[in-house]
Amino acid sequence: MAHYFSVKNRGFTLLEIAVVILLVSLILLIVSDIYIGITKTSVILERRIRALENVNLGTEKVWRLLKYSWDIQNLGNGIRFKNDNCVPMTIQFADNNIKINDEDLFDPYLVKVNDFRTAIDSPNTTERYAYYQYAPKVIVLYYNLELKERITTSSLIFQQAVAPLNSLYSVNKCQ
Amino acid sequence: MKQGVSLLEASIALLIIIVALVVFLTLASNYLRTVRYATELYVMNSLAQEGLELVIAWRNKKIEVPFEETVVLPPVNGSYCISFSNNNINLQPSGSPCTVSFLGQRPNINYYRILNFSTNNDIISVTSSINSSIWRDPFIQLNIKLTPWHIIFQ
Repeated sequence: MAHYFSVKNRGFTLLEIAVVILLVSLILLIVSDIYIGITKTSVILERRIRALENVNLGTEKVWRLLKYSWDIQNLGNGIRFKNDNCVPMTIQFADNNIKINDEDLFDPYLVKVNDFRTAIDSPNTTERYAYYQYAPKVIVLYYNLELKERITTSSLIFQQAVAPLNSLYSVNKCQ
Repeated sequence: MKQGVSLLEASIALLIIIVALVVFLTLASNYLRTVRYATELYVMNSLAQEGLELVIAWRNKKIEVPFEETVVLPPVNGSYCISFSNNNINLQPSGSPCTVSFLGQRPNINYYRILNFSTNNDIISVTSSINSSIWRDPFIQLNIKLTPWHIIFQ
């Protein structure tokens, strides 16, 4: 018992406790700051990956539709065409999205479309006897997108080209 | 006798804390770089694919002639640049990659594309290579084999 009440075993002074609390809080502050930073980054990146997947799905859908399209007309900010079953369709820039027959191509919570432009080639001949003589051989689509990442956004600008398969037919199936 | 903490012990503890912090920060920064890289690859892949689609269209355009004319596919071999401008496809021989042109506002990064053609009998092998001002090496290379075009009679 005498050992516990000896003069040498006095416990901690107020200063020692204060210094320890200060150090622990500093470490906690730094660690929590890093932890919050990493969590925030992972949330942002998770959103970016989802947005990128959404863009990938959307552009593949456009590519597939245009690859088998007929009667293609360029609108400058969209394309009017007939699908493989000869159903009239339009892909057009509207309300910060790209609409396929009034339906959003991209998830508006993940992707915002800033600009969408389209172009097609002009035929090399004025003859219009066969479909292949005047059918567009390429459709170029320009995308200027913003990937929404909760707090920030990142820009994604790219171009896509489609060479329609049906442009080699002699007769327009959908005429 | 209680001596407290020695300088060596304190240094080791500090070192461990610093190593842990560095590991955390490196992980976060690697994660960021990986996703940025994925975005870049996506754009580069689209542009390489665009190059191949333009080549298919370039071949298909040779069919657009009046009925009395014969269709000829000009011989192609070596490196070329392809672009779409003034509603036409332009294929030019080139020794080095050309900057990819866009219909609208350009991205902050420059992308360079080159196509390599090699002809064997009637088959043309085309490789579309893309690099960027950030990643110099040809990161994306896509290949296609072009057979002679043919009209499809219904």
